[in-house]
Amino acid sequence: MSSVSGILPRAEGRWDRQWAIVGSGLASTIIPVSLIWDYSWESSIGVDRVWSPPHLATHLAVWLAAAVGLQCLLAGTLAQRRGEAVAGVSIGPFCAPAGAWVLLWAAALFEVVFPLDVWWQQAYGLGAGLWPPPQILKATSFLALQFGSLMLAACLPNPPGARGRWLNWNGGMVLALTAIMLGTATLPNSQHSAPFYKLCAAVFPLTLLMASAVGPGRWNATLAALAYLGMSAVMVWLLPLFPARPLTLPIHNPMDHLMPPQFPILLVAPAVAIDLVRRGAGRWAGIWKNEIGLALAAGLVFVAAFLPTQWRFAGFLLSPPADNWFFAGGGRHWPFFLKIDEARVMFWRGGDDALTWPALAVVFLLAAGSAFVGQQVGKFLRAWRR
Amino acid sequence: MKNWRLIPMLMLLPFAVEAHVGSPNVFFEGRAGDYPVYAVVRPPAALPGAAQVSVRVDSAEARAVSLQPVEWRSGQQGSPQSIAAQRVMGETNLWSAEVWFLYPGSYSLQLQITGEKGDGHTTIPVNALAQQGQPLKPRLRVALILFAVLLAAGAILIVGAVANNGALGNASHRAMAIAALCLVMGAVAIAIRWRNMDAAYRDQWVQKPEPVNASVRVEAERAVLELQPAVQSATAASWAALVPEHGKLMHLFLVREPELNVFAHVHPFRTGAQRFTQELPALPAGDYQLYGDITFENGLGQTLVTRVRLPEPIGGALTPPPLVTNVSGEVICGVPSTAMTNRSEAGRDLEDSWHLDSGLKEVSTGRGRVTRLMGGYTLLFENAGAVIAGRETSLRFAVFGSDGREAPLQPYMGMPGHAAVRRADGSVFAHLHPAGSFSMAAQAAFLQKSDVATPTVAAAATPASNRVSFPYQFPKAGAYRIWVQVRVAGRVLTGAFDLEI
Repeated sequence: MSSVSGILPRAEGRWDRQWAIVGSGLASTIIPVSLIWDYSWESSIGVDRVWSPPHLATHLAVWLAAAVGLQCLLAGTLAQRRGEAVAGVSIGPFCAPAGAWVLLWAAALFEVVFPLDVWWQQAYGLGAGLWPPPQILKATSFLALQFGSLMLAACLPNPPGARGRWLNWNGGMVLALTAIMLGTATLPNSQHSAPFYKLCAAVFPLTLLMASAVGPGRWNATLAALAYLGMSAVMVWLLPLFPARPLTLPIHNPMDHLMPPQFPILLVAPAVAIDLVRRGAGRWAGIWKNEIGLALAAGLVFVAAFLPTQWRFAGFLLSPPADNWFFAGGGRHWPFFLKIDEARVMFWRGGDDALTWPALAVVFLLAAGSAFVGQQVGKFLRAWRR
Repeated sequence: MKNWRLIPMLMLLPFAVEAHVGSPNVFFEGRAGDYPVYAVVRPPAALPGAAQVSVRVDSAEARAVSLQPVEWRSGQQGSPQSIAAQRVMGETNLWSAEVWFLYPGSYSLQLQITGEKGDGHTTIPVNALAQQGQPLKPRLRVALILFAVLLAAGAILIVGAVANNGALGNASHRAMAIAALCLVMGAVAIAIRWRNMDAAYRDQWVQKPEPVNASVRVEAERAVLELQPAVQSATAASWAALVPEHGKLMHLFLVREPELNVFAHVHPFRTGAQRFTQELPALPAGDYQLYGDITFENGLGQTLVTRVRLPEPIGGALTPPPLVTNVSGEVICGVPSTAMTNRSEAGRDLEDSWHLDSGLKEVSTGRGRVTRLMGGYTLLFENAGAVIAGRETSLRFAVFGSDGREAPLQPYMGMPGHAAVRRADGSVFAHLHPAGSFSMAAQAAFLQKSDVATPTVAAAATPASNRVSFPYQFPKAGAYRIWVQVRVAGRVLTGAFDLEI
């Protein structure tokens, strides 16, 4: 490993920064899009081949990320050999922005895990349970890819407005990927239970704080939440336009089009609250001048804004007025293979999973901890210039 | 995003039973309307997965073949549209198709053939059950380990480079050490998760015989075998819901080990919701491996596997009445002289049969391998030399009298013959019929639920012939013994062959 060849104003770099930001941002977007598509495909068609179109889309995203990483690596290394100062980090004779290194690593991890994942599906199917090692490693590669994309967008120069928008957009895509990873735990039917709020408190403040800290404007978290909402809602509206029918059995819910995914979680309200807290951090420095104070405040406002909003929205989503193309609710859209009757419009997981005051305290602590971590990651990204 | 698919799987967990042992492929030989059909179904090793189906139609008039999978509980209403089989390139009468199953359970394939002879239908029952999958190939394992090391090194270098140049200050070595520690911890966590998931899968999902207890007691000068579930489980509770397979609730095979010189095919009576009893013939004392085939009313089949030590026989080992006296004294084939089906506690079925030899008396001839049957009959294994592992074939046999003339076969439990195949190590056991290895009881159960398909007629042999064949594929190489049972002149005869596949 060698040291960095020098630090110059970022505008003087040689590689095509626009391409790097757009390409990596696109890869970061295609990942959650392909996963939502895959979910809809499995729920509507059922036949889950290795090279099904959604799987191919995931590969395309990874290859795109790899292409961006390689292009950055090539340009950076050549520039360094010409004796130019490059705003990147060097590993051996090669030089590239850190985000490009992370993109390459993420792409390599995914493609290495791919044959292992294929073998696992053939050897175990779903019998071994959810989150087997290949799935964990694939999720790691997706998160790394999105983080690399964020690093690239954070450090590379660009017209400030465009760069900021890409940072906000990438933050939204991280939110989308996180929501997908929570899986069926975030169904509207689970949104009156403590586990749902614990999960959300553990993961969303992290991303919102990170997005809020890394972006250039005042409403970074809000814009990221809107990006997540917009992309996910478009998938809700778009997918049912495509014809599809189950090719395997049992068919308990016949369908003739791709099943819409659930309507996205309303993260805009807590995002606005978090942006306001961050804006107020400077004004009321005496109250939360240290990071722990800010994290506690962010956790508090997250819970205060998120819980009542989502609680009421979940009730709406399960009600007949939500049974339309816009919200895809009303308890009508279920995978073809799932036999579900009146439970489709009920709230699940009462009893021990009910949202009690002690559970609410845990939700708050998780949110504060998550916010603290997100703040640190955001600080790192904001300061990172290579 | 596969969470959904797991929910119904968990509901099916108690029914992870095993039909046959180590031999999951289904063979079907029969007719669909006017079309003679030979089909092989290779269920997936893991679920969800695709079954590979090949259909050979011995008719030039067949134009198209299609398959519709039906799941037992959801019936045809819950089935997808028929899947058109594709004609195999270069073949004129062979079609293939891929049928996906999401969950373990009892399925049937509704086979439809269209052509100049009109439409023909038939039903092939299939049990889709999880099997122990293939291990990682050594090359892939080595490559993955190599890449994992490279990826770990890459991650450490990236972290080190970032720490050395960025906002974290000059903390390269410390950051690399922390990254390495995190990677090691992550690798350990993943390894533990892998091991635990594999153990849980083997324990809960991989098909294996239901533990069953076999005991022998002496009652009124009769040796009575009793079979009961060893543990109370959902599968054991389902013993109350069995359906007869060609007239018998259980087909029990006893094989004396290690000599394999005694073979019995008997049919215990159910004397309780979870108890079967069988009056044993006077088999020689020794250790016996037991295989009991049963079929549940939902079409799932199960082979019970257990062992039992038989005491010295009451009344002397195989001292048969005149009916079963062997002229040569080398091979004895026994059948009950009187049925005792009206006894409440134990009995013997009229179609029980057993066989004792003092060593295989096989000889090779120009026509194939020949083994001696009781009463001077001989059994010819016509294509013994052509059998190889992993390829389906029709095991063809012919029976001749002592004078060398063809000995016409009579129906034995409704068909020209029965066969049992066992690998030397016991890892494979299958009960075969001329119509294939599928469960006829399951077929009947599916037919009862559907009015589309029509029953199949076994076509491998006709009762007037001296020939019988069994479609089968030996799943792996090794030493096998195959017992073939036919009825000649009112007597059930059993012949045995040893095969090195």
